[in-house]
Amino acid sequence: MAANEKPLHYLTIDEAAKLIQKRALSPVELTKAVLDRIAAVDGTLDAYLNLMSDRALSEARAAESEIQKGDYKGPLHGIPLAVKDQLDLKGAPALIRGNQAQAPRDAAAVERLTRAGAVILGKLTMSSLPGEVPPPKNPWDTSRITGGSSTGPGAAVAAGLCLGALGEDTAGSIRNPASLCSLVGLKPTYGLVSRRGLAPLSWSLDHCGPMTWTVEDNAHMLQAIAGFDAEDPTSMESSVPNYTSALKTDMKGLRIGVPRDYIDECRVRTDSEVLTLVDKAIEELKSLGARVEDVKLPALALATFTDAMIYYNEQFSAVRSKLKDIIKNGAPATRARMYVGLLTSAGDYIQAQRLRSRLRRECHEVFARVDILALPCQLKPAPTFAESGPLDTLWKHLEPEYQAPFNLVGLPALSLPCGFARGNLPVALQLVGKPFDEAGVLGAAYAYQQQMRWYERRPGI
Amino acid sequence: MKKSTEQTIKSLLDQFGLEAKEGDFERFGDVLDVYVANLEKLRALDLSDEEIGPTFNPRPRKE
Repeated sequence: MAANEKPLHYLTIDEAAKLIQKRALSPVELTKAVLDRIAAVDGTLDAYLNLMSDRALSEARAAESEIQKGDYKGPLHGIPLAVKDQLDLKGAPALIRGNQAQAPRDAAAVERLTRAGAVILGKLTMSSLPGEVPPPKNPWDTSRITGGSSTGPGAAVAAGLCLGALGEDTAGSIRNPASLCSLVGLKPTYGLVSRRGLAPLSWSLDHCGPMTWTVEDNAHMLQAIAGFDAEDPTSMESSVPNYTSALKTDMKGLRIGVPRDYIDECRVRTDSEVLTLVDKAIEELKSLGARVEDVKLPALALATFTDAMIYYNEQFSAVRSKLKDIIKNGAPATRARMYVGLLTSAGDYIQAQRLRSRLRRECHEVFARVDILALPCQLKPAPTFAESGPLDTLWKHLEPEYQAPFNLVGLPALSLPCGFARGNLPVALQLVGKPFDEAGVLGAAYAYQQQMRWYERRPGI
Repeated sequence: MKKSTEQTIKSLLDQFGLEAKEGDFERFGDVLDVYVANLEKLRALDLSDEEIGPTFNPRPRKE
């Protein structure tokens, strides 16, 4: 469907940017259209935790004024976006922090979005919040979950309640909802995007990244938020390339590695339709010119559990002083992680870090031969709420799966829509790149996206 | 939940002057048993040539 035939809330960032730049669309008109959409649909979806309409309209008016004066900042100027509750927004509390303290400033990634002219709509819900917060519904089937923990971003971007969102990923929390909601979700390289102002779950595993409808939208958002931040002690100095210019229409010369042994290990827990669609997608990569070979990464076998163990224990350490309150009032999954933290010794944590070193070394050796890894992103399409329980994530991370291992080694990993299973439920392919090669990952993803055009299908809500 | 796991958690909570929330051992017993089993697999892994030294780089970042 062409941009001029779509409702405004279903424009991609790229489509809206082109219209805004030539002044065929006002940022205020676009923001109001998205706010109307939120009013119409979010009562059903429950994606928003804190809708900040006043801020959004003020920023939209400022963007409109700047653009009318000829001061166009780029593709995010005037674009309405939203953020996961974990990211600070000035003047708003972060419910995940467990208190009502208002953040004194925006998170670094949000500051960079606003510097690029984006309009911030508010905060989106997430998993494991204290209190009785309803989980958001999957726009593809509202009897189903979105996947977490960036649950709100998953629902909001899919349903046109924002044109893009910032999520956070510690063990799959961007890629999980992205894969279940047919979004493009990027967990960038560790240290590429500042964690300043991101409520920590696990210092060495948390990654902030964009969740969007298309690959080019993801590139636009990443362009704005990537780069060194002296206020984040884990921020890495690296050059930030032009991600948009890296988007390709073919994969000639690209070497793709598929960890077949590991996929076989996960096979018994992976839905057969997911495997079929991912296999088809990999065949499509070949037809686009890629050379595909099997690769071995033996350390993947315990990598999911190791990521989870480090995550739960870093979280335990961070909140240890509040243990009494968490045991009494925390969400079930949070309480369970506290017990896990108690059971784990310092020696265990060090052993986990040594496995991390082993996997990093194996990946380095594999990436000497291939440019990108391709594998499934999810175990199954979105389950229903009836099929889900509060400990699902814990159970998921006790067995090998596809997302968490790449948090462990901090590599860029992208969830890319690759089709639909029974019931019109989204399925995704995962592309993993070398450290700081988001350009390579996005470039390859764009070629596949343009070939298959899965983005043309929207949920019916 | 295995008795040994339950006793370990109780003993560790006791160090904080705490008790588990009522029902949590029934609620989380299975998942904690599987966690401990995986922990034992990790402990048994031979990682003799891997170290974590590279994590600690004393070179100051450029400001």
